[in-house]
Amino acid sequence: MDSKLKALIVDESSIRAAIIEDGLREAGFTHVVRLETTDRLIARIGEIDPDIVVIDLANPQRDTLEQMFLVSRLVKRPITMFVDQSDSEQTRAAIEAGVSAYVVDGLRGDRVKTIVEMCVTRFRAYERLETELSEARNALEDRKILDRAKAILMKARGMSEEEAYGLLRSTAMNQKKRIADLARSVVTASELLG
Amino acid sequence: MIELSIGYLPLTDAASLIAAADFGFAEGQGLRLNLHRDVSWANLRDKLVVGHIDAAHMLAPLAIATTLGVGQVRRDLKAVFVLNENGNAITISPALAAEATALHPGALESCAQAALALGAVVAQRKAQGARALTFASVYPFSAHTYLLRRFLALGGVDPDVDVEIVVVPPPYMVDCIDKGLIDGFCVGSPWNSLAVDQGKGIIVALGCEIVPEMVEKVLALPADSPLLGNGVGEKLVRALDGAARFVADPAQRTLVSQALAQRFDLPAGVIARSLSGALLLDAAGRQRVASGFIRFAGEGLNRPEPDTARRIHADMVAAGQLAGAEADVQRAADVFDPALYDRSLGVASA
Repeated sequence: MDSKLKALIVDESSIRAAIIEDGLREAGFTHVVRLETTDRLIARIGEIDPDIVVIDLANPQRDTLEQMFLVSRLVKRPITMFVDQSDSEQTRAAIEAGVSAYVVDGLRGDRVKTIVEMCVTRFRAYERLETELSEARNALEDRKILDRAKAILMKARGMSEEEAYGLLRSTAMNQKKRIADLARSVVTASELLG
Repeated sequence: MIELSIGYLPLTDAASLIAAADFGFAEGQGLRLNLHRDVSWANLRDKLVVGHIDAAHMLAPLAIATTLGVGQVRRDLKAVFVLNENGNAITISPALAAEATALHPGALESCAQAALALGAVVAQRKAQGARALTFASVYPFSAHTYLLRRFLALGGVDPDVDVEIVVVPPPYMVDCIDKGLIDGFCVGSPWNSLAVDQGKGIIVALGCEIVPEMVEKVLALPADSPLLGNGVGEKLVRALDGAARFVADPAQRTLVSQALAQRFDLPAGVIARSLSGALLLDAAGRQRVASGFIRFAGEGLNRPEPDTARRIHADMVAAGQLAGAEADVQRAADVFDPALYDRSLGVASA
């Protein structure tokens, strides 16, 4: 029976969905479908008939899923949200990580628990990755702006790179600003002045 | 200052909560309300159940369903304050409106005419073997589901057999009707008006025309919440009581709609319209005015009444969501517990 386990991932982040898909395959799910847009969610669930549905909590269609699992003629087997009665910490962790899982009745409890644990860990890791990425992007952006501001000062005031940097740094300190923000003002002013 | 986290969805009926946070009513009670906007009722329920938030803006029937364990999660909740009555409307696609008007020329004139006309459409489609109509509600356990079912029944439609009822989150309603995935919907404010403004929908019935005093949203707490025993719940109810009367005051409508617009990223004009009860029904500018379109305060509206819970329980049974077990009626009634409300506002408990 295990070789026929089917999973559905509803997640607008395709990268994260791919990471979850890998995890589900490792857990023995041979048939994994990812839905990024949820336009035809209702019809698709009927077609796929999944044993487990993993959904990102940022997706408003969670309410649509709950209705379907309650009444829809399209859903062939009863599916309920996975809540581990013996371990409310896990439910809390899943909500904080931003993921929820609905499972078909009869899928073994400990097995589902492992899968939900995997989802939580991977959702958290993905969030860390996103934060790091955005920090790295900002740092790169800051560096570019700083380089442009230095070049402007070097040209306008005949300074060396070191002097231009020193001026930016001391001015930023005096004005209690971030050096990158000050550099951005220099670049903007220079663009305005032509 | 005592800090409380409260979750809400971007709907006009979150107004009293937002006014309590933004216009000093909470501060006046020594509270700071951190309001968290969410995207689904399921999320709010789960966050409340695991203690991620202290209280939630909640569909009145969802508080009962969660307590009875008929939804996805079972946990005893208390509705400590009724946030509003009414505020919903039923909107249909321009194509369905044309089909209805062709069969019944007065279809768009009133709620009753619209119900009869849709009954005629359903009967004709059945006779011709055409596709059955699909209507959307916002959640299975909601006033929207029960209003939609009653409205359809007025026109002789059996909501369980003749049509399909699905759930679509409010922000997706307009898109779904535009793509032809649904033919009509019942949703709260300001989403009907947004559909009208975009020429994608025509309002055919106001919730208050179907049921004049339908309890809509409540503030829900877990039944074992510390707020119910440590004196903080009383402060919260008093803050909400002041805020509800402020929201109900027509003189504050501009201020309130601006505060909501800012929190929801929606235009203030459309929110002001839903607060006023003067609704545009279609792109041609037809209007319907109903003073009871949405109500936030007055005449004991905010006090949770066990009888309200019994009525909602009956709606759930009629919708086939519950068997009518006698024990469930009492458990449902216990959800709408006026004790905290009465303690907070100095009303002698009945």
